[in-house]
Amino acid sequence: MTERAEMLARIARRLGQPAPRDQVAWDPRASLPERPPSIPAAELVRRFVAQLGRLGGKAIRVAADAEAVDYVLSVVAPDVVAAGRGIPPSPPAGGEAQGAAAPGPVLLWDDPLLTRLELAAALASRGVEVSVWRPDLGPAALKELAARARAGVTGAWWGVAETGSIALPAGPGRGRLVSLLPRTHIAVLPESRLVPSVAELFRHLVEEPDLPSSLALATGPSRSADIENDLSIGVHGPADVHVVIVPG
Amino acid sequence: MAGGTFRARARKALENPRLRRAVRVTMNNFMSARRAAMAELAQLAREGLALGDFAAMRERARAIKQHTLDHLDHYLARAATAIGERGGHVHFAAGAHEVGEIVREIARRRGVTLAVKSKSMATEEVHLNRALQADGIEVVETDLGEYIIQLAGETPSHIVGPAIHKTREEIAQLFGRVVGRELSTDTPTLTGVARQVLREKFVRAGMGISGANFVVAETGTLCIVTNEGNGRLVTSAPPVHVAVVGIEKLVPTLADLYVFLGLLARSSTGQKISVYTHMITGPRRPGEADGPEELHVIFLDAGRSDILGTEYQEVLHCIRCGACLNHCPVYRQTGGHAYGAVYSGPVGTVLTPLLGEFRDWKDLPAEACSLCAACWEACPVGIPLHDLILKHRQKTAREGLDQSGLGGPLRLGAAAWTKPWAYRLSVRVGRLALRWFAREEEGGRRWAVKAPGPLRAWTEGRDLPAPPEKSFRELWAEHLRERGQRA
Repeated sequence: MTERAEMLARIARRLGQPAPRDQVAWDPRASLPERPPSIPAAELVRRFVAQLGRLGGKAIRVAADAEAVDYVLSVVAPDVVAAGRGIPPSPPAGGEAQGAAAPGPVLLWDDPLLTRLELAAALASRGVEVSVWRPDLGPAALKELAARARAGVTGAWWGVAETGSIALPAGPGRGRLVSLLPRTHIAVLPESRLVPSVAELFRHLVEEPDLPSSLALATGPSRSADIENDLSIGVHGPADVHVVIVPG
Repeated sequence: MAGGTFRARARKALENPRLRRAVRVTMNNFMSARRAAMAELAQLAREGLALGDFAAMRERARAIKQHTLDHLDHYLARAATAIGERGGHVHFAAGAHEVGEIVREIARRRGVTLAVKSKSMATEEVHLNRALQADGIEVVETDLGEYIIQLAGETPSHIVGPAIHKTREEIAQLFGRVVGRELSTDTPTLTGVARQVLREKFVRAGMGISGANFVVAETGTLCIVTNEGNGRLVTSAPPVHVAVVGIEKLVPTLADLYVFLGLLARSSTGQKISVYTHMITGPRRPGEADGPEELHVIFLDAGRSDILGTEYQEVLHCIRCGACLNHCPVYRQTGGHAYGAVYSGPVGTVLTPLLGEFRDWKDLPAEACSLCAACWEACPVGIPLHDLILKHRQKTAREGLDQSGLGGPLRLGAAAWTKPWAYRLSVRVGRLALRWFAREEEGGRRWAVKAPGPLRAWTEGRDLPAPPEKSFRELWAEHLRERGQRA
């Protein structure tokens, strides 16, 4: 506490104040634009899909929940889908420096939206190993699960058309590592949660009574250009990013 | 304190064509991407989707920073209170020694043997890695560029691209030593290896150490911006998160944060927004199974409060985007190592002499700047860096630290040029002298390429076109005579 008092007093002194000030007048409203004209949902979807595509991610709008399930399945278990159509499995694509281990489970948020889609049951019925982020499994087991998972499936709080970003909050059923450790991340986003701009997202965040302990605004696959300016995808975060926009 | 002078280090850099090419290519990429991003921002502003174009956003950003710094006592207390209310621990560190002590104490209490770090200039400044390694703790940088230079035992050459000076062959060798086998030099292989090696560290580490790009005083939210995701992993996977934050990183509210996020990535790499913008409000909450059990925020002074209330205060506006480096004609030739300090380029030229011992660094403002002000034009928070560099030069002269030998001649020249006759005479003498040293060159133009004595240093790297037969004043006088008027 003394360090705190010392530093504050020192700063106040440097600023010509006898003591640290309790009250300061500041109007943050000038930091956000006036409310923009409303943009039709279809146009927001179009922009979001285009932006994310430009960054090497993939967004798709589906007309019904069942389609969303099919899409997730086609991403996490292409062989299962192909076999269903009588196509023989193809060898996995390269790109990984390490030998491919057995594909791990698909790890899902414990989230009302994913429950609505009955995603866990649908994947399991096709023989795909599924785990759900339940805090009672314990932090160590969940961390290990996330590190082994072939894909993480989450909901999303908001989507931003301007940038192709999704806002991922943390919470008891919403592990941070689900969208972070697996190579593939699939986020399911209700169409009504699409906003036109980062500014608009912040207008919503400002109105939130309580921010989550972690809110990650994720924009496309993880990237780096640290090796001779050569763009590489998926250095630490996911290399393969999908956003499924569902009705609602 | 780096060895030698800026001049010597710059010379060494200039003799390295590979480094210069790497720096140039990187800078040009950043600059053209930035231009495109700013054009797109203007379009957004027209649609009402952004606060304004670059000029308007920068004006607002500047106003926010100025207000925050002018009331830093208030905002720092407010941030500390908000972080505490959320269950975070707040520490105040006067300098490098205190930061080291605080982090070591936390590490000892938690029995930490491995710490992972995401890129943080503040921790570079206070040599935190060394302090922890002294306690036998393994410290691993996880930003790909930082990891490369950590393996090489070097320092960052650019705020945003720390390893732009390393070739893929060098990187393959460094990584090969880590995994104990020969590696091919293609990017997917190298990043794949880094991903594998560092993942294991993320999962095992007992502590994650980060900086923060911004801290929102009102909510106590730390905002960390990365492209690779290491910032999120470092602050999510280990059981303890320690953030080392310069006291100048505060913004009042979330709305204000928006302004800076709109400017930061666009100014830095030309992205609309970085891949990950992570906002952390307190540690893990009841019922949550990941995120740190303990969050410590260390507010670092390390010479910053001495800048408050001075004519240099605006340098504390810096959001470390690197735009001034990318646009600086000196940096573009020498790269970052020539500056010999943590912060390079124009902002380093201003900041390093303020944070360190002025007389040790006075050659930076004297030598590493042509006062062209490209840095100021590019700066997303409008810091008049060229002005501040000039202030450093004035201070050098005022305190009698100038050893260039130019002080006398310059004073003489300044005195002479206050009188029209003396000015005319000096220009005439100068012109004749220049013509004397001019050499015939291709294309029929004459150039002055070498000057004698004390002027030699100045002409070593520059050629001047030889002055014409007649000066403008003489031509004008003739013109008036022809028209029968008097000058």
